[in-house]
Amino acid sequence: MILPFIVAGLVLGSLFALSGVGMLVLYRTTGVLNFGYGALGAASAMLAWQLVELRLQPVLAYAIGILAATALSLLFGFLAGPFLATVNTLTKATATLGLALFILGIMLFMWDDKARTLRLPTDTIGFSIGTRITVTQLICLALATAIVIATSIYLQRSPTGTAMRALASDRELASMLGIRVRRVELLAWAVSGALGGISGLLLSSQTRLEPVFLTFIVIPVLAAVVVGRFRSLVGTLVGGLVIGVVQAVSSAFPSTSPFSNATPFVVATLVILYLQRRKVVTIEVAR
Amino acid sequence: MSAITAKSALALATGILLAATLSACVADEGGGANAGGNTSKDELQCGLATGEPATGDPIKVGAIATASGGVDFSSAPKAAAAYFDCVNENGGINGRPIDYSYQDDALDPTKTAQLAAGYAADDSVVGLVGDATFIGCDVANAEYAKADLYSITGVGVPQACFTSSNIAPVNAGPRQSAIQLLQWLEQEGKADAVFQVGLNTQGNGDWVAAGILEYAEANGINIVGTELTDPTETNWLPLIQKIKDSGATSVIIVDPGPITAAILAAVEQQDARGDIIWTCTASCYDAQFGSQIGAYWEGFVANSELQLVDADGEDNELWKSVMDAYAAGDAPRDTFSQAGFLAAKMFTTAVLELDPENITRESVSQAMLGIKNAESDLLCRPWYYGEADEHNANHSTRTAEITDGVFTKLTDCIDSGDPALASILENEQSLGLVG
Repeated sequence: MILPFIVAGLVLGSLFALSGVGMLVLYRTTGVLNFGYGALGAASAMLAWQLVELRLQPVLAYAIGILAATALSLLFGFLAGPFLATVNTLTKATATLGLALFILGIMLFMWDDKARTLRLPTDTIGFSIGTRITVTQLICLALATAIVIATSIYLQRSPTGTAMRALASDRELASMLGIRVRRVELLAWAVSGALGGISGLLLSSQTRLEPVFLTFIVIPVLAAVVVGRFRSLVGTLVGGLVIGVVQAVSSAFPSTSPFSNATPFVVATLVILYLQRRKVVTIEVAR
Repeated sequence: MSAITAKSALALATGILLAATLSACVADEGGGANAGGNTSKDELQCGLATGEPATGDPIKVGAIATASGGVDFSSAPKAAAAYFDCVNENGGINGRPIDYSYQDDALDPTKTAQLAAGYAADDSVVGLVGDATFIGCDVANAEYAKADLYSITGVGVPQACFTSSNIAPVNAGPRQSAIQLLQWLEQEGKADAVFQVGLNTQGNGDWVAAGILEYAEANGINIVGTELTDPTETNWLPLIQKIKDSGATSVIIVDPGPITAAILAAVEQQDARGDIIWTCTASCYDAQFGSQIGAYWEGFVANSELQLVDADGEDNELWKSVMDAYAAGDAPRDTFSQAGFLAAKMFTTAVLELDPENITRESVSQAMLGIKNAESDLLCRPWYYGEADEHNANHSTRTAEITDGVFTKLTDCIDSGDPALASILENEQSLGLVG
């Protein structure tokens, strides 16, 4: 019976895609590939869990969790943005590792290694079509698709979206044309942080609520972004779903099961190889 | 205009962050809610119980624990420190206070080896008490053995912690914990078809899984499946499917608490609990676990390597009261804490026998090795050290089940039937370490 695996794969894949969209919006606007993205999601989930434990209204706790991820992302963008704008892409990406380790360190300091679960009210409502599907899982799928469509339309149609795309092609030129570069960049940091917060909450409910684990989930997310060639939102969605489904389905068979966790790397490598198929390879000889 | 917007955005961000941090700083109440002592600070019977602070020359005692890196075992040395503080307030070791501290190896075996070498080289360190390193027993033991330094370890997890000459853990370890769950299932007549779940980690997960298989083979129990997963696994559907297909009547999970909680959440999502008896080793026995896995798991069974934290009994009461009086309010009151406390108490009892003028590493090592027949209500059977290449004195544990979200006592002590304990049991008798 393969259906439960496909469903589980689609759900996890849609969450990779949702995170991927957040990373992509930021990358396309600011050129920053945020490795701290998983940590933002983890912080959102851990904070929401703590607030629920303190008997806060769950919905309010989730909202504060998402807000905190947004605020953290915005704060980093505000403080580090001007410096990051002047360095190359690789340096930008490396700088975000600092953000990841900083947030991870704080989380490990505040929360011990005991078992935790984030129980969304929608986890217990579900129906069966050969396998059990919960409302949380439906939300994951619907949200990922909706956000990809909405973001695509927003980037195409709205003035801010146009400004974001302008920034992506040429930051200097865009600022000369009167686009408020800082403002648009901060917006991208905020949107990206919010998406990170939302996916962090959903990922923790569907996988594990552990700071280290959630921080490093940025790796399969990155693979989805690679499939989208760092450009395409739809490509990222497809990439996320493919990775999720291949990973889950390959885990169903004893012969492929031990390798299922390598799926993100395999898919990303295949896509990179395919995209490079007609490029001239130059080999520099060191003197 | 744009500068003002950026500033207000920063103010907003900082405000939210501050509010969020403040609200998250409230102590984790789930950890320490149900264990509190009834003895006041000046009535605590620690060491000589004189009520007079010790002022002599300090005796240096150390420990290595994994406190960061994703695993936090520091509750063992924290409890040891609390007990030693209490001893120092009550006459110390015949007038000499214990100068106790522990160091964090941060889940890095290289660091463990460095710390161990540091203790070994420092002659003023007479012994180690309440250690709890998750990864470094083998490398640490190599250093200790060269320097004739011994450790009454609070918590050991991998195999190496139980097969070392200079390390003797107070806890029973995951292998005994798992085998005793199997023995409990056998007693209850629920061991017709057992499925075991664990980690594929070398020297730990594989060692426990082998233990279950060895016991099962020796006792004619049918193990219908063994699934050892990667510690980073996220997808539990294949596992749930395999358990269903195997026709298992009971499941033994030997995973860390957070992974077990994730597995149980996936089982709940698929509504796959069925009539299967689901059990977990002592890694799940934690005050917070029941409330985290939720009402679906009422009746879930876990093993406990020491006395249940809310039980009565002289030592358990002393542990709780010492923690109240000498440890931080948010220090966990868990099995590891009990283990650290007990390690410190047994060390104190042994060292009190020595001439206070002649407390050296040599005399302390002899005193530690000489510990035998040490009884405590925290244990099921007497603990001992003894000269040997393997140490697993605690091999009898209790079982608990979740009732209304908290663990309650299910059975009293079960003696381990692990076939690999044969040489240890033989030593116990021939060297007169127990009874």
